[in-house]
Amino acid sequence: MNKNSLVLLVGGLLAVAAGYAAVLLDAGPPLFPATALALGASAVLGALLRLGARRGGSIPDTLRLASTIAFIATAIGLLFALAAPPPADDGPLLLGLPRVTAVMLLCTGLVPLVLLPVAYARAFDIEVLNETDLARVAELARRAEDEERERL
Amino acid sequence: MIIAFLQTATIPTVRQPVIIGVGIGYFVACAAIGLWAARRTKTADDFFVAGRSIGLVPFALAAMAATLSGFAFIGGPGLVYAIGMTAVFIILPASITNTAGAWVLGKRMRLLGQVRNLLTVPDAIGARYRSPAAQGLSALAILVGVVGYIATNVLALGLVVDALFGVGLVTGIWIGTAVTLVYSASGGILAGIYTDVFQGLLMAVASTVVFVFALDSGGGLAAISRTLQAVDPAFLGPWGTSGAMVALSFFFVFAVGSLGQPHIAHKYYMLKDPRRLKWHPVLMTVSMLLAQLLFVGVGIAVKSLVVRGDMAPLARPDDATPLFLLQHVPVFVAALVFAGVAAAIMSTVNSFLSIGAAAITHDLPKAFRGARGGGVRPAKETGAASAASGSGATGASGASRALTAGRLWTVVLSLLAAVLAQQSGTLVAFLGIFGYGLFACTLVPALAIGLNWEGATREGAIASISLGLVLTLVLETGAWLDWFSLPTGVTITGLTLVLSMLTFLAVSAMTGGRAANQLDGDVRAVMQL
Repeated sequence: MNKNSLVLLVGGLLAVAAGYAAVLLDAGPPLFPATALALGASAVLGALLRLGARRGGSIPDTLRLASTIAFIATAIGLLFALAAPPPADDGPLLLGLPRVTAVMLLCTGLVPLVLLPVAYARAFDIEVLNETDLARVAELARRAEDEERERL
Repeated sequence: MIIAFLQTATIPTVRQPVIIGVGIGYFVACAAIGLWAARRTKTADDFFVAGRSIGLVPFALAAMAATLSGFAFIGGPGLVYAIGMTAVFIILPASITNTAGAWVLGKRMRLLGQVRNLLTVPDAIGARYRSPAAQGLSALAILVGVVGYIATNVLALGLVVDALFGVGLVTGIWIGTAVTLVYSASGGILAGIYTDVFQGLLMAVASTVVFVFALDSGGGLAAISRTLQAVDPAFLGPWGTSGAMVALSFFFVFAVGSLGQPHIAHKYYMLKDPRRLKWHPVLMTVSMLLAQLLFVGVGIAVKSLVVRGDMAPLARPDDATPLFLLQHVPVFVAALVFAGVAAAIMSTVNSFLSIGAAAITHDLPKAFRGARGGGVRPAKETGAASAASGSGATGASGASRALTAGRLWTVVLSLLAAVLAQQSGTLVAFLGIFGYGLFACTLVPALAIGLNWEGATREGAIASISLGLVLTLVLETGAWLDWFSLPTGVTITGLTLVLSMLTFLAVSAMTGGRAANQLDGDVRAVMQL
């Protein structure tokens, strides 16, 4: 599981680096730098969430699903905005904002904003930190304290 | 998510009896809360990690207050006014980072802090890699960033005090410094947390109320959109007027960089019960959402008012919030917002003073001594070494010396920042600019990746921290001196962040055979939970 997260992380970072390089070198198709940055930034965030969710050798289901949805929603929102035609002076509104902007904000902003904290709270007692974990940590702390006493 | 841009331009004078009264009341309340909390500060543990006794609500409010600087209330809305949706990409990553902090860093920082009795972020790096060198380098990076950050925030505080009371910038700087110092030096982060609760509530309430007034002044969001679309369709287009690359660069830097901000990561040690992390992202999300409403609302409302001719065009974008408050909001609400600006700045300064003093009194001495990474038991538990002194002193005298050293260095850093803040505006702005980037480039790899990947190595951590430190300083200095400029959409922080993360991964992969031997058993156990 770690390997997939690391591959996603490295891929995302390379995409961001490629986007910056294309601008610095003034090379590649016009939309390439922004597309690379949109995909790369989403991938890096998704990978960091997956790494953070890891428990033992695997990623718990709820957090894996939530981080995947957040990654996909973020990427879709940004790519949708990149693919949309330039804003017009009489374009349609959605929720009081130009439609493309609203869709982008819903995907990139609202979906992770609501999904991630709810998923984290829902998964917490079983997939993040349970009573056994806490007992283990208390034991480790006691042992460290004893070792410290002996050393001194 | 960190609002890292800084307020260095003057703020229009807002002197009115109600505003002055509320301003005085605010400063007195902060000092009183701080002094009350200071009486509970008896050990270095209290001073640097609030005695590890903070409940969920104060914890979340303090994290929110420390995250937002005055930029969220003045510079941010000004930037929205100037470049529209592009500026929103500074706060958009908060949709993820409000949770990512707890998800990626919170649990492991908190548990490792408990097991090793850690006090600082460099402590965690030292413990993770069993490396005093990595701890020392990260402390050095923090110290370099902190001095500039505090100076710039102190300047911002001076500007706010001057705008409120008309006392002049220099006097404003010293008044702001004195009030912050009263509680920071006496009560450390413990006093800071309790004032943060007050300040965070103030910021959230002020921002929410002003957001309602902002939408109302423009006739609602749809009417504002129509007004702005007619004159500049790109303004509220998905990327704003600066374009997709600038917006996406903001998104990348503020999303990933938020995981390397030491004044936020440090707060995880303070949470009394790690089970409370469960609701931290929810509370953080709600409080940040409310506190950032003003950022967007005022920026677009003022633009719309100017387009409609209901407000004169602004001389400078940073005038957006002060002028809107003076012209479109009841004076008492305006007063609350100005107090909220001071609150945002002071809570950030207090956090930076704490981590700066800890870097000097704890991390750097420990690194020079080559001590084993990680903290030691405080005197109150073992009757042994003081955790924070870094001096190896023992018993109650060591604990007392650690507390005294923390207070002393808090005062020194404050005075240094106040003096620096009075230097040329461009120098102060320069000092402040690289703070956020420096933290991101030096700490994200070793902390956000390293605490979650057992294959990370000491060599990778040292290489990425060194690269981040050197590249940020060299490139930011070069850009400041006009030796070079980067094309639109490419930022020094973005470039350096990518390079330091890739370096961390590459060097760790190359030295991966040593990873298993560099992990202590207790650290590995925490990483596997």
